[in-house]
Amino acid sequence: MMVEQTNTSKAGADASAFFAAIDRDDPPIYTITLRPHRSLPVTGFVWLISVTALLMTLPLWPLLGTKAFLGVLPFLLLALGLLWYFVQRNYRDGTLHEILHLWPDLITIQRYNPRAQDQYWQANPYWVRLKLHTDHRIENYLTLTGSDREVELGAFLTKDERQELYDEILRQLRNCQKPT
Amino acid sequence: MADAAAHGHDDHARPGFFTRWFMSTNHKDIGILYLFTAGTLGFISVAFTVYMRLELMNPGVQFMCMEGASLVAAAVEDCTPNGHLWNVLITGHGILMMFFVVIPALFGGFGNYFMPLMIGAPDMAFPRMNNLSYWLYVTGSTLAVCSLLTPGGNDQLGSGVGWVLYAPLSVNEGGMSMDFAIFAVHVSGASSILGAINMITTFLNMRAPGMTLHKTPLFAWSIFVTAFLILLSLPVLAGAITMLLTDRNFGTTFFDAAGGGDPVLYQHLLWFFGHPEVYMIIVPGFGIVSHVISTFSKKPIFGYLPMVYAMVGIGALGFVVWAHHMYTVGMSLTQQSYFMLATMVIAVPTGIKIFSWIATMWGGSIELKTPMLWAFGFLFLFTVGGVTGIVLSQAGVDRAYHDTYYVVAHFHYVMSLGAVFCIFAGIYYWIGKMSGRQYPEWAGKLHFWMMFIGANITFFPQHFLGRQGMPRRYIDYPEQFAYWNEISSYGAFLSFASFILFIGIVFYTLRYGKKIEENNYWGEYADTLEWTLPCPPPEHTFEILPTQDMWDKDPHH
Repeated sequence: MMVEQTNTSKAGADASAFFAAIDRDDPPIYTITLRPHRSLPVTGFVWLISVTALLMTLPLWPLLGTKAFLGVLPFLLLALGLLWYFVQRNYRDGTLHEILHLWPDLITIQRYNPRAQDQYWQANPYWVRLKLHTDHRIENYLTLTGSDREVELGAFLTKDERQELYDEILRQLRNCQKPT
Repeated sequence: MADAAAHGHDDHARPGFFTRWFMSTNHKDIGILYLFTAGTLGFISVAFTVYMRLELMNPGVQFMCMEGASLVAAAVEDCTPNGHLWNVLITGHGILMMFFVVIPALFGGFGNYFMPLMIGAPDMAFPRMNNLSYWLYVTGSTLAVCSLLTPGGNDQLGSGVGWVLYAPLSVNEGGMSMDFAIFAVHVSGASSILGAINMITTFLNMRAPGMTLHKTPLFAWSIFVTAFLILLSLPVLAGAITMLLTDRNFGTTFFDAAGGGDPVLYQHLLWFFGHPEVYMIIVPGFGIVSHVISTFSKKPIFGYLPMVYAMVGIGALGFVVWAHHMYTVGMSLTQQSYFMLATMVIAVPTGIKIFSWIATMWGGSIELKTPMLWAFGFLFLFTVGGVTGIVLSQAGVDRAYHDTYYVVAHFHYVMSLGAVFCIFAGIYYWIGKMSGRQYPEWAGKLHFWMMFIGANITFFPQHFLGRQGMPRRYIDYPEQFAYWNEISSYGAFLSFASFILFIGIVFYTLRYGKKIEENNYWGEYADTLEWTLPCPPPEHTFEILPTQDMWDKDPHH
């Protein structure tokens, strides 16, 4: 319990430091939001539940007015409810995303975790090292090192997307790192 | 964020035996567990049939005696027939095969292993729920086996009411064995529903980028259709058997006419589940056979979209034909006409599939490897079973055939020969992918021919027996039926021998089979995503989403 509290307050401190840092007047010179892939659009979900519910009424019509109606209904509702809950939960797992901001003197990443504390990272872009790993289990694993911490970026993307992301961030960082 | 995984290659240590197989959340490991468990239960269930065919080989009762069941024939005068034991065996065979062998092997086993791979998903949407589904299935099958060994009706062990558990017979069956059977079905139903939700979510939400529904491989589609059938029909069965349970134990009268209930209602509810159930058994088989035929004909599958919508159509029609199992319960003429016509309509989508498979082979360069032999066997036997199905669908003709061996022959042709041939086609097609070792080709072919000949000798004569009027579900018969019964039993022994050979082949392959070096050892027409992986695939697959060029070999459709 003690440990958890410590973690929470540390995360809280991280968060307040982070938001204090990005609360500034000049707009970032570069921003990107990364999201994992989901193949069912929301209209698809509406279709799924409607068709399921409609088909589930099929065995119920002849039972209307009998005691057996109440014998069958709860199980159908339970199954429909479970389907609803689990697809929604899968969407929620998919709300994970990472937002990268870049200013001339500050680079930040915020990672939104659906079922855990959000995570934050900030550093000075001048010192940040960007690396595309070729020897990792995840192909084209992309990391940034700064503020004594190495963090991953876009681990949920495809390898080609990470390659493009690497090129783009590298270009942006070079821009910042150019002596003025 | 995820602080970067510190060093490039931090593959976490491989789990130990217990962690890997008992606490697994990996879809491939769970798929293998399903296959082995289903195989074990299948062996028990098949052993029952061999004992039954032994008893039926000659008129009179020689083996299942009140004096004790034995494997050695007793003289007829020393043997009091034990009909209860017979009933328990047919019930056990039915329940095990319908709930615990074929669906777990096709849907749980191959579905778990290959559906996520084919759509390029890293795992199922809910890996831990997947583990729960598997262990609920094990629990359910344990209850089913226990039901055979606990005190039941007629002051003997087990209950002998048939796998359909018809009221009022099942309500009046003594002992607790029947309650075990009901709980077994309940628990396996919960397992299947959770599994189905998992499959539906995975299929809908975790397809690789660019893989629209109209580009998803046919096996993945077949698993999706099956999952939907499970989701829609199993709750109805759960309701029906719950009412059965309260009728048995708490004095309700849902199915008791004396208390205002209706025993025929139970049959309606049971078959509202039971007919889709037979499609749950065969549809994943359609998926497997499509890939096998396309691979070994070296052509892309003919008519991909009609194939998909035929499966959807078969699934949908499967829900509106259930009463053709119960023409003789006293329905009105109009009801019977409807169910008869609706049933015959199913021949249309099924025909689309059969002809598309034939068209796939047409002009192809067909290679008769073992999986293709099984697919051919399936095509032939399923068509035979389908044709007798059309015969039985006619309400008038069914009056004569109802509860005869003609029905037994029909449903064994579509399920025992249709679905089980698909399972074997799948095993020979993918065993190299799953284990990294290849089976000896001659042994696979020998297994096929033994099984093909054996199963046909077993079940084809049963059409004749049915036409002669031999009723099903009896331990004994008049000697006029003796000729074809004896032949049928020889077929059963040959099929059983082929099953033993199969077990030998599997263990030989896993231990000593030739190591496979190539990813797609069946050649370029095995073009779904699992063939881009090494054999066996690593523990984690597609953590990086696959790109379209890896799976879209035919981009213009």
